[in-house]
Amino acid sequence: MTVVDKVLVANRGEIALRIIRSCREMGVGTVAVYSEVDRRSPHVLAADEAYLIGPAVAAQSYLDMEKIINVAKKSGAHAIHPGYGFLAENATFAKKVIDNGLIFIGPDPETISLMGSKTESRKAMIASGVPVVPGAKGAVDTVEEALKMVDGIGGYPVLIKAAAGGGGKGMRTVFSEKEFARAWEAAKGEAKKAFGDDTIYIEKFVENPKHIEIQVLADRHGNCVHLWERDCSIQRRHQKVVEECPSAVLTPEIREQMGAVAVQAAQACNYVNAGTVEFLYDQGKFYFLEMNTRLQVEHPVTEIVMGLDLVKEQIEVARGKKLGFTQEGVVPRGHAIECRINAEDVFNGFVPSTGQITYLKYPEGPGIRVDSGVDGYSEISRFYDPMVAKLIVHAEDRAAAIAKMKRALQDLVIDGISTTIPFCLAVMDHPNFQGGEFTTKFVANFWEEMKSRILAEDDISVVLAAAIAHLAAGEKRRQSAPVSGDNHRPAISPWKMQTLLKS
Amino acid sequence: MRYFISEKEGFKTIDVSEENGLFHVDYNGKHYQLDIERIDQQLYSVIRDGKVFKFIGDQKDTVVRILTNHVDREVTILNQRQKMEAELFGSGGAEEDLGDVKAPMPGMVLRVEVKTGDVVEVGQPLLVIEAMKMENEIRATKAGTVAEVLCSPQQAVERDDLLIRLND
Repeated sequence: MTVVDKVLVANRGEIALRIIRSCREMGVGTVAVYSEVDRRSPHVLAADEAYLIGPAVAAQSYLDMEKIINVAKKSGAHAIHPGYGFLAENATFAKKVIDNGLIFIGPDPETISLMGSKTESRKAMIASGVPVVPGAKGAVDTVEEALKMVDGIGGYPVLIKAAAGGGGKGMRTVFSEKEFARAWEAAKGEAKKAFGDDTIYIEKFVENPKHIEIQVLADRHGNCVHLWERDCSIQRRHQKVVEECPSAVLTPEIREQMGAVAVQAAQACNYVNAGTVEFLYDQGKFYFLEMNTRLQVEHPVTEIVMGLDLVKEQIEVARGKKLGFTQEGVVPRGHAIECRINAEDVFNGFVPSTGQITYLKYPEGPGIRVDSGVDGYSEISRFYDPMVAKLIVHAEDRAAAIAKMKRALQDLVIDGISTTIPFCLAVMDHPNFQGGEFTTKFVANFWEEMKSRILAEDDISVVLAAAIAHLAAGEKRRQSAPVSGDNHRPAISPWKMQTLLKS
Repeated sequence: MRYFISEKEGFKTIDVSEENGLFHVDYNGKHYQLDIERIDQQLYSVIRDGKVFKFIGDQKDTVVRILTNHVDREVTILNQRQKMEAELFGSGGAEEDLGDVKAPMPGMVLRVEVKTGDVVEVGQPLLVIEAMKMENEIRATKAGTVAEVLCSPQQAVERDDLLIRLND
């Protein structure tokens, strides 16, 4: 058995803290790394050891592979846990870790590299029989060639996509043949500019999909299980905000199919450790989107429903142990929902909100879990991800979980920064969310109207403001009274002012 | 005591009296009786007709910020004298949109999409600021002509820094 008794956590914020907690429970030592602005961060305060690795800019600290590996060796850590983001899906880093005689808690570098490429992973999935969005098998050279393919992939709308694409760049949706040539040129030009590569392919555009993903877990002995799905369709800027397990719409048959396909996908790329296979889901049909070769932000909803600790499982797999259960041993209980509490102004296009937290109170009570990376004294800087905390609830069924999340969000108070709390509360109240019939278009379809309802004129705020102002004025009068009766004489006397106003 | 709420359309009156923490407020034709207890620095608990709720409130000069139901609102409240001063010096009512484009958050300017003399429409992208790993497009909230560009790519900006000035 490989020894993993001391782990360096190459991350910050809530995920670093969450990993440290599981390590401590296992008796595994923890090493934190931090940038110059993170000396006071909760993950530094919680670890057994902590080492400064550079300035705030991530490229010179949390993304500096050499520095992190040096700290791991110097501190005597056996393994590195990358968390998510930063170096978590960097095959070069994983390889360097291994080449330095350390263990990378995650899949092999070859797997990370394969699944990190849009076209290569698509090819591998097609080869192993995993359903992908209908489209071209590889690059398409001319408009004429592309137009001939449209009918074969299910007709319009069609997505023209850069092979090297990402972040929505080099991508165009086409609804009819007459728009096609123009969109083709636009996508090509954009791809050339953004990636230096104008290789293009086309696929069917799934208009109103759900984002459903399957959690998988595999050991080094050929065992691979799936841990059901998460529905992560509530997104803004293509990033998830609300996630749940299980989904409100999957039938047991489709769940079984998707689970089997996810395991098939994982095995096709020799997957080891915890990973997630993401699908577009549209009325009973599902298509492979991509595989995330790391622990995901929303993993707690799966943990709670399955009664597992995925970080502990990851460490056991890294030690070379066999999974302690089979697919039959995966027994869900109840329903879990997660809301991401981001430092963002939801009323102003979800722009980041930075600043000093001036008041913070987390909700308490049965069935509530808070994975947070900040404290009441924290300052939210512009350097890192805007997520400050994850609020997760567990209840016997979906309706009870929604009610609990509402209560928990109402009890949560954060002041000093704007947060996604009002957005999450409105989602819990929305009939389409409650009915389960929501897609990735939820924000585009409903948020404007939801927003205006939240921001509607509200007399009680004015009344409370007047009470506060009156209270403060009274205190001022009391304070100044004994000093001099003349103290609050205005700069211009009311008499004079009246005269001026009349003139 | 009579106060005045400063709004775009003008002033609205609000009457407040207090005795031992019990407030009587008359506003918009309605009477409110509130038991307000200060719990912590800015945290208050309210009991109104037996119903309990809490809010955060703080005051800077004549502007009171209230956070209830997780929504922030700013209310400008003036006393008789402040109202007269405001009317006199013309600073009454909400601030006018002067066409100044300010940084909504601290970050780094990635791209400036317009130059002096450009005519812009409402919603047109003006520049992109990177903060928290995200690119944030700053769009024109009013139409006009770019009078001055006060920032350049790779420049670090603080919240509320003036970036671009627009003329009508």
